[in-house]
Amino acid sequence: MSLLVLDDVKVHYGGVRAVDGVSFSVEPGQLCGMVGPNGSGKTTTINAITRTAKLTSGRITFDGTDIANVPPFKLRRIGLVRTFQGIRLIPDLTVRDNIRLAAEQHGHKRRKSRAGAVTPDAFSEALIERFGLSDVKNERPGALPYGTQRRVEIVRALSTSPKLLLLDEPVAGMNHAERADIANVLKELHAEGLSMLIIEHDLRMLLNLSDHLVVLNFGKLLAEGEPHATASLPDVQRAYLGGSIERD
Amino acid sequence: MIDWLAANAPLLRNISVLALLGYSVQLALRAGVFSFATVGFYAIGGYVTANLLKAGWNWVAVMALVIVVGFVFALVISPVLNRLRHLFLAMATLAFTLFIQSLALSWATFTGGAQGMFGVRRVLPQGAMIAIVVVVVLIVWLTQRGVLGRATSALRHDELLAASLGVNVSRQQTMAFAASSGVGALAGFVQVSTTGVFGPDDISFSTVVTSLTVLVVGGAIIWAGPLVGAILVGTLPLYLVKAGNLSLIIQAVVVLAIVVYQPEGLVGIVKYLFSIIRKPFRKKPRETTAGAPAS
Amino acid sequence: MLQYLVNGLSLGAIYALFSLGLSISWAGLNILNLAHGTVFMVGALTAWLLSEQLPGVPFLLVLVIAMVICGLIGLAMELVVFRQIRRRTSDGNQQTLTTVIATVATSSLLIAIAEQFTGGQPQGLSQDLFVVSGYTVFGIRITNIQIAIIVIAAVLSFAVAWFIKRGRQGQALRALSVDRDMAKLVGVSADRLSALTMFGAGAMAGLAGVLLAVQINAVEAHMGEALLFKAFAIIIIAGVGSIGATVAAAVALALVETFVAAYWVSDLRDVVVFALIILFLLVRPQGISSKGWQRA
Ligand SMILES: Nc1ncnc2c1ncn2[C@@H]1O[C@H](COP(=O)(O)OP(=O)(O)OP(=O)(O)O)[C@@H](O)[C@H]1O
Ligand SMILES: [Mg+2]
Repeated sequence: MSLLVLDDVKVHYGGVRAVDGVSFSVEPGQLCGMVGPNGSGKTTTINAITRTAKLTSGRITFDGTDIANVPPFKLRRIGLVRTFQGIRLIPDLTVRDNIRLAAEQHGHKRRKSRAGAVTPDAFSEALIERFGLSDVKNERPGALPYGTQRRVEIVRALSTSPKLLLLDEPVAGMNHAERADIANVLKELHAEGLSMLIIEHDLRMLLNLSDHLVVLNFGKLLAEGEPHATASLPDVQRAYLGGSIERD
Repeated sequence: MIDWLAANAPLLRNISVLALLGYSVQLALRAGVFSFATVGFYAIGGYVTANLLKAGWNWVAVMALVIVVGFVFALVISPVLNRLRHLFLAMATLAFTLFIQSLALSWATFTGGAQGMFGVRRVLPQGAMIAIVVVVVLIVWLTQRGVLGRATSALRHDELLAASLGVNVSRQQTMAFAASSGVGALAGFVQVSTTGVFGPDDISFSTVVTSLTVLVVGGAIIWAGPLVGAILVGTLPLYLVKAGNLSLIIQAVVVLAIVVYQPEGLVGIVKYLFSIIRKPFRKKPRETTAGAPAS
Repeated sequence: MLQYLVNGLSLGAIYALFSLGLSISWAGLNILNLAHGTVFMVGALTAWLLSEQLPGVPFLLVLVIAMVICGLIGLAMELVVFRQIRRRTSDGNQQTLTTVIATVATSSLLIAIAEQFTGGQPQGLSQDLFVVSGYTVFGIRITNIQIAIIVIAAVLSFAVAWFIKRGRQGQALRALSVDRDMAKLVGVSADRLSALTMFGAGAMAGLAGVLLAVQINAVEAHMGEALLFKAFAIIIIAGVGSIGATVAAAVALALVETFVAAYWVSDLRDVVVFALIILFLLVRPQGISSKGWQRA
């Protein structure tokens, strides 16, 4: 059974058809890439999945439940968590507290753990350690380099123990080294079996990482399928890159 | 100590009420609820107290009831407010306050109309008054740390993000609003049960201004802010008397300057100074703050 | 009956002049100006001061001076307060909240200054500033000041509506309201436009202040506060930023109030207004939806 299923999803803002009848699905363990020109409705699609944008019509099911029946704040309980296109860290809280904030909202509620269970604090600490944030964990995020902030956001999302991670342009605005860094992190998570849906303009990176590629254009699904094959379709080339996709 | 407390009773009473008003506003604002309903609840608390004390109730019972009334009233109107954000919420809650003011004038059988209520028994012992303030400060301080504190920070800065991480935004904000209302009503109780009078002047627009002043002078978000603000706003007029008529203008200019140029208030300034002093003693500056490679 | 209609209409005209500025600065600049009522009061105060200091000063001149002074106060608020806050905070929530609180502080400053002049007492306006004379048409008494109020409000409402819809600056303001940063990118001078808006809003509040002061023949430092409550109701009913709806709601509210006071109990006016506020907050699906050009 597919983990996430979008069925003829439409999101219209007045006359703007931001998403206009999109259907696709994400399988368990899959890393699904999503590309498309600016304004093609990628972010709006993720907004629809996380109930940030109101569906005009259509249906989205996650893990067998229609998300229309789940209040937005309960989505993470069922394993759905996202990052945003812009950085959204809480400036008052240290890196560690930003991550704890997410970890402790649900799941590991009890501070005194039952035997064997991990407390939110311990869980956050472990993630901080693992993703190399120990040096900055007591800093406020505002002063950190851009790439580090992005990394904190991803770790924060991971601290909710998601089943599906939705990432909106996780490497936008990063330099080359930072990109490679994040790509490694994603590869690792993928290898561990985490399902992900990743919006990214860096097609080359997506071609390297993903098992499945979804292409949007003008709010519609232009193509989907095996990444390299999909990316080299003439329609996709024309819409997305004006015709030139370099393959690695 | 006891002598000093007795000699300064009016000042302490003033500071206590100001602090409670400030905390009432802070409880809402720090959770991202732009509520200006504090003075409305202050009025409700005040008039309820005045009527019940006149009817011969015991003050402890009155206090308990006033807090409950504030809470319940807040929960009743919160479904309306829950649909509102930011400026709309600010406007609707201020409309509530303005309405209560107008009602206080016209509902004379309950409020005494333009004259207000007077001759109420001044039953609250000074020790109890101070205890009330201490308890409120303690609650604010405790809820500013830990799980609740982090969620509150998130709500203040970014409701959408908070929800996406699993924070129940509307429930937490409703609770913050109810707490704010309860403390606002409590301020009314303290005012009436220590001064014996309550009227339209106590709940005018200038009280709205004062409650916000207490907050911004001390520090809007920091737990100690309203206490510091109340002490300043309570004592400063005593020293400004020399400036005579101009004192109100000077006060207003100072407050405006703080709002614009020092939004973290006095506690913010102190904290900043401390951080400057402490910096050289902190652990050695790091060279690599950039993200270390993964794994 | 018709008499109340005329009275209600002139009250509604004052409400409209007052609410328009509040609504536009909110829609365009995301500012809820709680000092708007105080600026209104400064208009009335200016008229009173001028008529005391310069007996026989022409009314038109008084109107213009009051408008300029109140416009300048609005401008000063933008330059000294709002712009500084915008520079200092990038966090949207924080900025909005700080700005609201700053308008409250500004309001207390203006009231403190005003009370220097009025001595904290209500003051009567000199009769010869504007000689009020009444006419009786078909049994309805209407005064020249009521006519002036209604005409001025009507003309200004149309002017403002035209400005927002068609004027170059108005269109730019709409762009600004949707996305301040984006508007700057396409060449809108956000700073100049904000200054212009605050000046205009202030001037209109001042104008309303003079007109109301002449009509009720009194000036008082806190006279703007009751009006703020009415303006809130109007904005909640009309939505933020829509000119036509604001004017219509202003007139409707004034009529309701006039009739409640006339046929029911005068003291219940505000109860009815508040009930309307709650009602509209409940029936609007998204709380308050805003039509057209402004953020929700
Ligand atoms: N809240 C909204 N109200 C009105 N229009 C919107 C809203 N959100 C998005 N849109 C419009 O919907 C369209 C799709 O936007 P979306 O943000 O989903 O694009 P995107 O594919 O994420 O683009 P980008 O690559 O630039 O991030 C755009 O035309 C945008 O202007
Ligand atoms: Mg996007």
